[in-house]
Amino acid sequence: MRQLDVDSALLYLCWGAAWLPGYSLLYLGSSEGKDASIPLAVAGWAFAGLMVAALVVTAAHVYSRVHGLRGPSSTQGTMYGLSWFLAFAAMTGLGAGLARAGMSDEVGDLYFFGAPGIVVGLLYLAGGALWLDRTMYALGAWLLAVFTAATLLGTPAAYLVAAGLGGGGFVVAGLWARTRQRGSAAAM
Amino acid sequence: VGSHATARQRCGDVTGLDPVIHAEARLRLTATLAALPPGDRISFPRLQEVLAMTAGNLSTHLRKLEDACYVQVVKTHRGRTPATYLNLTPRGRRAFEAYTEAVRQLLDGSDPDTPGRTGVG
Repeated sequence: MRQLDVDSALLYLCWGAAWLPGYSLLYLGSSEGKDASIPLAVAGWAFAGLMVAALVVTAAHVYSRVHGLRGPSSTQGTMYGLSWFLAFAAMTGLGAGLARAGMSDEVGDLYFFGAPGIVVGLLYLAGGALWLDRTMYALGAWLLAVFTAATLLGTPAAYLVAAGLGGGGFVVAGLWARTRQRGSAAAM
Repeated sequence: VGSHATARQRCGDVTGLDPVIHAEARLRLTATLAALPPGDRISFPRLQEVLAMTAGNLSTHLRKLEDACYVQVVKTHRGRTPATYLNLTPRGRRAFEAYTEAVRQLLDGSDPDTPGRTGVG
């Protein structure tokens, strides 16, 4: 019953559409002195705006599909959703702790680039395990690899890697999940 | 299996299709409830929205399914507003599985090209 299921393909495409331009803007914003560079503050706010927009789309879509449902699946979904909030709060708190301990701005940029990516990757792994969703699990593993590699490269190159391979990974996962949905619909 | 067989004998239904489920509205209703994992429930207004049925129509069909012990109706409160949640009983789920199996056999039997009939598959 498709009306009662969250459309993961739609959500992957939504986040791909936010990450691709979002991280590209951060790259342009932190590439000082280059022709295409834009003010970092503008890039930062545009990135934040794109993330909030994707979050709103995600929340609205999930609500439209799961409202009026009660039971174990609903509890699982609520606990999983809450995990995102807790993980991001802890990740931010950890960064604040590191900043207080004297983390440099350069290392801070790298932390606040890499840590959210690792959190997203881990939560996709957890979601894949929770719902036996191989696409979601693979996307989680991919994001862990992308953000680890990108952090090793350092900023601003890391932003470009996150845009292309991270945002691109979401788009590929979205198209793959869409193809599989079509396949299972045709088989019924 | 037992309840389905006796229903079939009692009603003299030649096709073996459970008459409680075999009405378009109740088939859609049962299929929707069967799509929920066991233990999950759906609210009356949401079910109405998914099936695009009027409240009166949905109530009537739900009553028939409830009378056959296929559907469990749970009345609760959300704050001060009463809320009704529905789910398929284990018996309802078995009946729906038996129904889909009967339809499948019926369709397979009517198709001479079916691998099962020709022995190819």
